[in-house]
Amino acid sequence: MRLLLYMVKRLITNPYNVGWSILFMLFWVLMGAYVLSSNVPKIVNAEKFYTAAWAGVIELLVLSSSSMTLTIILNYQTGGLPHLLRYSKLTPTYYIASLYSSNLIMQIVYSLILIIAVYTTFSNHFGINLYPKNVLLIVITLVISSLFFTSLSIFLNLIILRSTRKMQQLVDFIPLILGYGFGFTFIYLNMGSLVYFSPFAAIEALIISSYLNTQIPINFATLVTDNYKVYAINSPQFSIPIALSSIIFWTIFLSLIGIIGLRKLYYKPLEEGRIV
Amino acid sequence: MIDLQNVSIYYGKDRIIKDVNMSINTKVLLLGPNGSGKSTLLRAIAGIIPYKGHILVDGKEVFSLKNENTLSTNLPEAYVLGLTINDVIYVYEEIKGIDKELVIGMLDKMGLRSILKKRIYELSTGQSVIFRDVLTLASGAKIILLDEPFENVDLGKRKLLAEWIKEYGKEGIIVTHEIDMVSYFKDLSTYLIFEGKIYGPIIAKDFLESSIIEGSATDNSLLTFEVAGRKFSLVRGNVGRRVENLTSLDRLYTLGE
Repeated sequence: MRLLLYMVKRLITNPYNVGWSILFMLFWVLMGAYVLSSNVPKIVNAEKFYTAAWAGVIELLVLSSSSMTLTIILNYQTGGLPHLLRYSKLTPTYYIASLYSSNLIMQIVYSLILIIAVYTTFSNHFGINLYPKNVLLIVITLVISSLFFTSLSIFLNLIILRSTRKMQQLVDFIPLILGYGFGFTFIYLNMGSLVYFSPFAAIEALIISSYLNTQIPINFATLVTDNYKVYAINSPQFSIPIALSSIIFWTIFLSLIGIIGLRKLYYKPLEEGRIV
Repeated sequence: MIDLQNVSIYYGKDRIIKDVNMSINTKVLLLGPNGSGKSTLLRAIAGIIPYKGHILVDGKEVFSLKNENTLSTNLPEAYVLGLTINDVIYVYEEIKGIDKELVIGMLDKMGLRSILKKRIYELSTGQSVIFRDVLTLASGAKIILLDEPFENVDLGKRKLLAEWIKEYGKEGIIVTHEIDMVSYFKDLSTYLIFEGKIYGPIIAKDFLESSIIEGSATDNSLLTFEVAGRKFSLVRGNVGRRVENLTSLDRLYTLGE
């Protein structure tokens, strides 16, 4: 339990994590609410979809950037695991459970702060109450998404420890790169059914869908490119159960690799990551 | 008990430890110059790096050990969980069973209570070594592995540290390249390590009172070993270079030049 409490305290209060995952995201929330919203037509439906789209993007980016922090933290911790798993009470299950739980608590706290920020600023700007309609589904999505991102961070660390620490320079950024990549692809391009294969796009679509508490088209880009004027209700609709199943599948798959891989670890010196 | 059977350790293609065999069921000293493989051997026993051959701790292969809280080490790789000294104590009290009161008491005696709120990287090299030594000794582990436990530690504190090392832990390996420190452990069996090969054991007192001559001695020889392609012998008496005057085993490389 102590490892969990320690990790929660350090993850939530890490100044770099707060900087990138809260303050930088708050900057974009303000941009989305007060600067980039000038072209949104004065139609309630358009304002609702615009707000929900921003909520989806911001929540995905909060999860991605805070997962990058977790990946970097793991770079330092995993070096000692070969010793501790052999000569202490630390088990892979306890270690991984502490990581999942602490990351979950941190990411839920961060995500809720940002969703409240989206709600208050966008409501303030548009002059209507744009509260999230299905808070329960948002929380469920965040919980499952956080578990997915933790399993991804552990998996990425295993790649580093199984290959070379020089990979660290690239691998640490993968959650963020994929977050931005799939996040904006879903908004601006027609991903079709691929949205279910990418947990990143699925998370964003789930947040948008639950913020509105209505079905959204899989081809969300048609709405965005038309300034949210047309709701293409006749196009294929995004399926919440399929998206949730996809994220759960990815989480279980990556977690199993993580638990098996941690037992077979050996130390790789941090100095190996030095590139200059 | 630590049992090494035909142990070899590689870093890439370089063989650092070469077919080492030794069996330890008490505290022993392991002496060797820089780069001889002392720390590498400890890392393998501590389960941190892979090895070839067999390393058995209390009869169990290190490679397949799980949650055997019988061994503690001062190697920095063992203390990766925790940002401040207080964090490390908090976490390791749970996972390694270290005695917090004992740790704080020992740090107090070393005049280091003020480091508790510091971050690990803020410690001086000597403070870091003392802290890791104290954690190792206060874990209550039966086996202790201490890698250069006196490095960068003040003279006065070394004596106190040596007393604690004698007091805590029933078995283990104390690694050093400083011959001066051997005088604190005159009764212990001593192994020498040169270029990945282990020689010994001899009693520390005999080692300190011996002399080194080049070549293989036949009379009064305690031990013969090879360094940089040259053979040396440890012999009783004053026939060659007195060991106690060497200060460090690194001096062997320049002996006779």
